[in-house]
Amino acid sequence: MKMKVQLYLVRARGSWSVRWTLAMEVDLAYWERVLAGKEWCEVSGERNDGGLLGSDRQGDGRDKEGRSDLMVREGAGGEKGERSEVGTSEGDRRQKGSRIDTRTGEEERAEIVLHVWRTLLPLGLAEEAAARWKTENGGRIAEELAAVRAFRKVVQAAVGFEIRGKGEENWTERVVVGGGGLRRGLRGAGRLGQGHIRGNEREQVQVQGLVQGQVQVQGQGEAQGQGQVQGQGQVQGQVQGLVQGQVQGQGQGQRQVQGRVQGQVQGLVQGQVQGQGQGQVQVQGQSEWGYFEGENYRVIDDGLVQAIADRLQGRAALLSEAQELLAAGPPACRAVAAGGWSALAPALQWAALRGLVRLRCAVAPQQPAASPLGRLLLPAPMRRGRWLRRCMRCGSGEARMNRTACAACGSSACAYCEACLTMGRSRECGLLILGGGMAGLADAQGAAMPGAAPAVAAASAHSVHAPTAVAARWGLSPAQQAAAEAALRYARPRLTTASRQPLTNVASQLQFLIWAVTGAGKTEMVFPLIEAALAAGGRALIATPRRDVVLELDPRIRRAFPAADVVTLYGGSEQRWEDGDITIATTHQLFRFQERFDLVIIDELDAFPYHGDERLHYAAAKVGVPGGAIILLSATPPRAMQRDVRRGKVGCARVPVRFHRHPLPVPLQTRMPRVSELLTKRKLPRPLLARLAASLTRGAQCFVFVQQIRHAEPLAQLLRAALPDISIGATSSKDAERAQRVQAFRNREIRVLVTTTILERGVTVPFSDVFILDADGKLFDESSLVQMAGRAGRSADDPNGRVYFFASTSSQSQRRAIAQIRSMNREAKRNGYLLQPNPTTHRQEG
Amino acid sequence: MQMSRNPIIQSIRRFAGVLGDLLSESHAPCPLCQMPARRSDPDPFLRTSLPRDARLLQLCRNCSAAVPWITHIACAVCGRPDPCPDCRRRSDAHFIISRSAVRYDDSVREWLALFKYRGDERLVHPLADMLDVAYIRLDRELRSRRPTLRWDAVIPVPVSSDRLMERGFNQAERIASQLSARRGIPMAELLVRTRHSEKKSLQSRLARLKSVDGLFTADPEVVALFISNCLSRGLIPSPNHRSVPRHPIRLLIVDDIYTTGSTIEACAAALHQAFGSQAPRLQLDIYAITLARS
Repeated sequence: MKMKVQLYLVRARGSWSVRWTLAMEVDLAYWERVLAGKEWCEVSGERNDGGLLGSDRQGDGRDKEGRSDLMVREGAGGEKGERSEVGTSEGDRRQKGSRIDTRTGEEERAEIVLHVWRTLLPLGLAEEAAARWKTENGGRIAEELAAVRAFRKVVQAAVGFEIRGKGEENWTERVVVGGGGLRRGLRGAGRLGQGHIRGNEREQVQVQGLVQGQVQVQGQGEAQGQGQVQGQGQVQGQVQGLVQGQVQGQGQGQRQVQGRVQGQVQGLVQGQVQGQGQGQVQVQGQSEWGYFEGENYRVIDDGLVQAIADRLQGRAALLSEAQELLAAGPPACRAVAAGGWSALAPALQWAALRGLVRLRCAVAPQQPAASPLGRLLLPAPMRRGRWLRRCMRCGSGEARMNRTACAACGSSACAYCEACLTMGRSRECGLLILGGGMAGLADAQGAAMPGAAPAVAAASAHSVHAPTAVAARWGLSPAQQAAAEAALRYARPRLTTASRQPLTNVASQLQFLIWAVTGAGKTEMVFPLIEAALAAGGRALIATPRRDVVLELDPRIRRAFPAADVVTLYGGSEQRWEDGDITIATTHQLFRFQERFDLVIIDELDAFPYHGDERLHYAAAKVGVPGGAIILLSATPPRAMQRDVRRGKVGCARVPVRFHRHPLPVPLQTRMPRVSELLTKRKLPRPLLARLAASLTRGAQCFVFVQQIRHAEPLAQLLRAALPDISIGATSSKDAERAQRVQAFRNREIRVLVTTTILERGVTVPFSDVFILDADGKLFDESSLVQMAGRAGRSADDPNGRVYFFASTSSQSQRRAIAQIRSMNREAKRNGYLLQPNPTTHRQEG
Repeated sequence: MQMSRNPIIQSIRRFAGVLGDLLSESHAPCPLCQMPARRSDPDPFLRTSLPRDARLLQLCRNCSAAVPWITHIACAVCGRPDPCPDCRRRSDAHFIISRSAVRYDDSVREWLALFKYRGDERLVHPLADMLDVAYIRLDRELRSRRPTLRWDAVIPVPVSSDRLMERGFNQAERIASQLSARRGIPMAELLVRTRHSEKKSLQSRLARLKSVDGLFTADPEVVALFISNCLSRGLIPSPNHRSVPRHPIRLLIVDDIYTTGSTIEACAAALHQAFGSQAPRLQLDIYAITLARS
């Protein structure tokens, strides 16, 4: 399938918009149904007489997207005015109390004018043209001729020089939908401005393609005619190109078409076209575009469109992924997937027109933001630069785009996203299908919320307790309980659609941070939240950076929520296309979702994949339903987030104490030369050896952290020479036997493990001490140091592990890490969370 | 987590970032593994044969050491570093010789998979540089015997249109076009693949040999165009002219992997057939280079 789409300009209610479509015939049928007031009425049951008007759901911003039938689909600057205009006119009508009948309504209701760009365009360029239209002309142009000119302008701006040079006329084809059956004929484009656009458009009908059969022209007085189409001939004007057949007819007031019909349509048009809306036109064979009478589109029934939309709901899928998703779905979806692109495209297009899914370029055009200086100095038209591209799946910007020639769309510079290649290539001419959010679907079905399996809803119906009771049910410590209650207070109102506030009000506190020290028992704290989400009939997500954490969480969650469907996602997961109430996923899997989860829990937001990676923030922000709850878990939130907490932008609950209710070990700073120096001198300083020996005699396992991978093994050798009786291992990300070595360390077969930051978090070894060498190095920042220190004293049997910072200088990171640990201990003491009211640490601070 | 929303502060940050990048020691990412790492010192042969800005010269140490160059050749026909039963078995090959740059080992397999299947087109540059090495070796080998050697066209092995749509590019065409641009040899897409065959990597040797039967044909129109182009450039005498052309037309088929040679052989046969029917007196010499030799 060539990833090219048809672009068209459409006037509906006096304002012009530009759209692209995967299947032009679907759009024509759609506009016709809109005109007839049919569209939407079956689905929502409320548009019987208001098909042309904007949606009634003014309150829900998302619903309007793509649904207000005639309006531009997505919210962007220029279209605001347009919407309010709809609002007022609708209001006026309501005041008059008249029923709105589209068929006998005023003039502009009677037909919809489209100008279809005759060549198919690569998806990326079509979307850019549509986006340019929105920002440049959205809602401003009313006059047809001007609109067509502006249309040509935006298309040419988008495609650049690539398709220019064929002459300026005949780029578009004028199509009129409505006004009797024959009004759907395609009209020859002619030269712009030569008559056929002005005046009464109802006179001419041109059917393109090979027409066999009878054409009856019977309009509303303006046109009457009868034609036999067979052989060659003409009625009015010249007909050339691929139109074969004789058209005979007569009528009053007909205009001459002076343009030529050029053979872009290679379809076979069979059948009858009769006036008064009863015609049938069938296009068979392959045509670059043809159009169908609604009758033919009964093939795609509403149930199927809805089934596809349900299946795709909350997903962000590339076309190939959507095909797999459908193929793994219910029988109706499987049939569509098996039918290939020709079956899928019309179905997707229907779903998109109804607002059930959104179709985007996977790498979409973005208007370049004018620099502040440019905004001050340059006049508006000069601020426009080349449009940039952004990956809609992972959010990466222009910097990660690579433009190459593409055989699929024919563009010589089709951008693809380098950043998320591992998830399948996201490219400019590739389709990204965004399933509608849950609220939207529920509304469309006019009934209960989907998503909550009845069993779960029933099981959890009785468990709506007061926060305190809920927290107590999960056996939480006092500190955990306090944090869980605070999080519940934040999350509760966001978990039910009814109480979800409009976006603007929620924006003040979008997220909630549970700042829990290492070893505090974060997982237990989110159980009450998940329970609350399920009780409200919502879906919950736990995202964590590591695959092993996902695998470890899976059985725990299943045990805690036996009635819920749990889906575990990671690279190569078998449950890839399953739907569930609770989803546990690695962070990269989040790219494949869109507005799906009511409760999003993000674990270790400062850990490697999130840290400094904008993509994962983008992903985390898009997977939750708007206004839903986002809970962040961290032992060491980044400074920017700590600032947001202080400013009240992010809600926060601190858990300053470990589950065993002992204080955190405070690191001891010791001066020591750099590791590289030790290695060249082949000599270890006495303080280090003495402290290692002390730890080993007290029976502790020793983590020794170094900065560089290349230091690990040599240092281990040096240590072996100094401590000949002790088994000493080294590991790093380059170590193929890392898992075995860590296991051996756990089993106490290795007593000292020299390692890099790969073991800084996630590894819990009871009875261990921590030695951090080169603690002033730039790879060890505050959070890294706190995490490494957090390896010590994890178990209740040995809560007072020892932590040492060895460094040649005392850096800010070390000071901050120590201050953070102390402040947590102070807070724990103040709140009475500690077991001993006056903890005696076994060391003095250096 | 949130960056400052103030646009001026953002611009200052961006500017400072750019400045910092300019001042700091630059560690451009390795063109193969994309990791920022220190560059290796390239092999003197590579340094002298490749252009100075070739990406292959910017590899990190690990990748540089991992390239399994074919340095000696055991089979004079297909350039295999080991004795080669396939060429001995084949009696009437339609190509003269074939050369490959590297052995098809695990790291090459991984690079090619990233390029072909995952679509990481950044890899085209280092991979095309490797192909260029194969070209240089072949060219020198032939030139030592015939100093006035001239290449008339580089011909990439086509992929099926289904695969082309799915992948968006033809890997052989991508590396061939780089070679064509660097060495100034025109690229001609004379061949078409007539059907969509199973992935070769999933097939047995016998199935492979069978599956290429009639898999390629030369597009007669493009071949005619190519011949008339050669005529107009005076490379070959006109058909009316009595004399036998002094120089043969020398074509270079380019592919990514040479496994049994059946693909190259089928391509060469298709070319011979098409040229034979359109210009019977023309002598056609077909050579091949591939990136990897398994």
